[in-house]
Amino acid sequence: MIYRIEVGYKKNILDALGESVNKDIHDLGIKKVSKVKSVQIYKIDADLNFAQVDELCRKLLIDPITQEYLVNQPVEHEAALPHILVEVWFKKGVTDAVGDTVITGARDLNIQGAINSVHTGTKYVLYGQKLTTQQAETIARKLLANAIVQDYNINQGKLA
Amino acid sequence: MTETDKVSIINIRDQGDDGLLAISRKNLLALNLTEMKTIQDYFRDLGRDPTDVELETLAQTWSEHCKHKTLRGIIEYRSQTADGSWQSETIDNLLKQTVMKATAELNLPWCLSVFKDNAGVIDFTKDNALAFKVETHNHPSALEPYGGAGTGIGGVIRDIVGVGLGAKPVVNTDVFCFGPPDTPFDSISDSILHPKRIAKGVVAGVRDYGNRMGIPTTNGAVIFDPSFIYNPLVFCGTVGLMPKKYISKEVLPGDLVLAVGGRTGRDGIHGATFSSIELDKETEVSAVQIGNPIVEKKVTDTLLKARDLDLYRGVTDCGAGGFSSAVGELGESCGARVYLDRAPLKYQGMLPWEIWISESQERMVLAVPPENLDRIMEIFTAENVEATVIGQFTATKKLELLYNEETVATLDMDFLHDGVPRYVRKAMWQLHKHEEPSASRESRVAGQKSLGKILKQILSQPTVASKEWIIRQYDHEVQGGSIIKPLTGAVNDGPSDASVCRPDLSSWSGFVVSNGINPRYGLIDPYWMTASAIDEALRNLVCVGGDIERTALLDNFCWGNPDKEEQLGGIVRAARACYDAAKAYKTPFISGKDSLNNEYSLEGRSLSIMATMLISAISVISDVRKCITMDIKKSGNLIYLLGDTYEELGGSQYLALLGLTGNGVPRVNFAKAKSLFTSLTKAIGQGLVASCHDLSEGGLAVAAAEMAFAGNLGMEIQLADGSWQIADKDKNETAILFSESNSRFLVEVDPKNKKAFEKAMKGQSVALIGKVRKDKTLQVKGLGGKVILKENIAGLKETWQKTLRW
Repeated sequence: MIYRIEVGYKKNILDALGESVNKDIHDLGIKKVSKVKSVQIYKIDADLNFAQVDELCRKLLIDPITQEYLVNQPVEHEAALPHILVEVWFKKGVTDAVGDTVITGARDLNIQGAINSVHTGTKYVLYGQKLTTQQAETIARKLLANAIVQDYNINQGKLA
Repeated sequence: MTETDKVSIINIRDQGDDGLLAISRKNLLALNLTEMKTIQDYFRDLGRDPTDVELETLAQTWSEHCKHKTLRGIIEYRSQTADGSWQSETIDNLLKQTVMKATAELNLPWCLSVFKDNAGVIDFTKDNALAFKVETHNHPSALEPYGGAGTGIGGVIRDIVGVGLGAKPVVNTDVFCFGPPDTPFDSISDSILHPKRIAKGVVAGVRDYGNRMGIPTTNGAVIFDPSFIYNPLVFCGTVGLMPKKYISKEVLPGDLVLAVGGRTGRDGIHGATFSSIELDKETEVSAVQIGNPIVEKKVTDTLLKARDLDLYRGVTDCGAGGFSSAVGELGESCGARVYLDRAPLKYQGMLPWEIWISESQERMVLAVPPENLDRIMEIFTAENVEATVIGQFTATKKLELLYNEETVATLDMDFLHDGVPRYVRKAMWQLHKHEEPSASRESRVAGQKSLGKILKQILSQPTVASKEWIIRQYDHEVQGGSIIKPLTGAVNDGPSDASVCRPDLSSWSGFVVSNGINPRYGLIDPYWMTASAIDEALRNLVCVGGDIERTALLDNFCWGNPDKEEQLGGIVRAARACYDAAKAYKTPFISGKDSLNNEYSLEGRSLSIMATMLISAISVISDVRKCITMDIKKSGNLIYLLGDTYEELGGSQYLALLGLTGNGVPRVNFAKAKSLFTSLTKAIGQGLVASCHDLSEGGLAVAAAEMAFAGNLGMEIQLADGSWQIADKDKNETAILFSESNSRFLVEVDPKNKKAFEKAMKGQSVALIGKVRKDKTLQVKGLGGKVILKENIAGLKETWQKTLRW
């Protein structure tokens, strides 16, 4: 069974990565982005039931004070605002140290059941009126993904 | 040896020159024709062709990265003297003739292990020694800054863990050279990453690896210049602490080859040969990888535990060349047999040669006596560290590799380690005349801008500006031994000259780490760039209370393609400065590294970096409580300038503002400098100095401003009270304020210590030129007594902090 887990910061908690990406986008000369939310994604291929995955999330993948998570569905964000989604993943064969550590962590938590693989990625929600997919493409290429080790895909959210 | 689906036999015996070169190119071996021919002769004598495993092993072991073929080769050097005539000479092994020669001639008893192990080792306390190593990881960081910098740190930490029988990493130092952060995005090729992105990625890589390993990063520097846009420089250094009884290894035949740590994968294949190849946008990507600091932390902790139980006789890290280099080094004097199919792999399907040379991270190789195997395995197993016996050291003087019971390589250790033919290269050096500021150009600047504005402009240059944004991401407190930290002062935001660490919390003994780097001087003369870097590293160290009599140096040469005569000529100049300075200061080199081929080919043009020499210094001190910081402490205290100021604006930040390099590069009078450093060391040791800061980029004005805003106090300086080695002084207050002459300090002294301080500095060039003011302004009175610069320190600090507040 493959689970997709998204971890994001709760409302009103500083998203440092998102903010720093937002600044870099402005440096890039693209002024159409007003805010960036970053979301950590885990793709877990494992013989675990939902309750076990939920336990893994609560005990290992999130900081319960500042972060929230959802399994097999995207975490909350201000979807009503115009936005574009960019997801960045490691290419096949590139060491995914965080992914490897999740497997070890699950074992240490004594969660029974085989975990075949864990891949980690990052989702960026780029909010902005009139942001074009072409601009998102530039942002992905120049800031978010390094083509040598990472792939990205762009998902049009709600366009203005 | 027979060909199988896993091993190919490569026909080299029947090849002509073109065929040999084609084999080298096709397999990314980075071997030249002479080397290929030497290999051909070796196998002709054996009456067979090599396997791919053998060829790869030779290529890794003979790589520039591992053997320093250029600097240890033969150099036909010609240089132009001041009168324009040419001189030529042949240099046999430049390193041995310069850097290493100084150490040999100084022959200091506290140098315990130099130039032979993974790091240099010096005496520290009664029981302990310190190991220090600085490496570069430039090409991987250009392609993937986060992974490249992280694995750079990981690699140098393993050097320390693998020196002697293992040292405990206690401090990291990191120095970077990047392109300007404000480089317009559309001005650079699409095939590279923007300098700011490289900078942020590198910082994040260093942060995540160093912090997670629990090693404080306490020292560093960052230089920005357009010549680093296509080829950034990333220097990573680590200091380790080790009991003296563990400083050497002794591998015996019969010892088991134990591979410890990470699994072997296809990542990082050809790293050693890759570092000798110029980058371009098609550059092979398998050389890039991402590290896992948690694995390395576990390896480090368990290994040191096994060391303290004397369970192994040798250890080294898998760096460039992977197992091939590690086993090759440990078994150099005896021999080794390795079963490649026994190495734990990340995934199936790897070919024997890939297993053998893979540079997967976080791996160490140990030589373990068979009787200790069970006990050592117990230690690793208890902490979930993977350890596997993959072979045995032998007495055959041969390297034998097997895969599924089939022999896939047999090479003589002698040939492997000493068979590499020596390079013969040509080198040339001549002085270039650079444009000087014309009177009109300078007056235009001076006319438009007050001295205060020029000062602010220099403070805001990224190279000079506060690196707080970077420093604050690093943990510089972990392990609890940090005494002088990278940021210091009234509100902990002034720039420390050097860092001080007390690695053993039961003793007051400690060590100082500092660095010197200024590649802009090298545009004029690499000799004076190197002398200046050494002087800067030493004065930084003296500033905090380092002991010049117990100081050792490390060199890191970063140059362009040494096939170009002028590049290699610069290296010769730099190496000679290393010898002259080390001898004069009596500060031996204990380890060093060169990174050549720092060039990027873009549309047929080769873009070289500014040749760069990084000097790192380490000093042992007996009492860290005597150390001082650079921020001024108390209003009414006296400000002295130590050292002579010349009109040396060549390569300065001031001329950089005018877009010029100039010619008057700062020089060093070694004897005078050494004498001054010695007196100042003594004065600081006697507690006579309240604060001390060295004069470097931006000269007197920048040093005064930094001391003032770090201390949150004002400062007043009267130029008329100084003596200046500058002709036509009246017109040259600018030169006095911004000259970057070496061997100078600004020192704060309590009036009650005036007499004692002046006595301690007797015979030195000392001028009482100012005092600390209560009001928060920096004031400079010119030679005529008029105020020529008056700035609020808060404004100066803001200018200095703003640039890199990312």
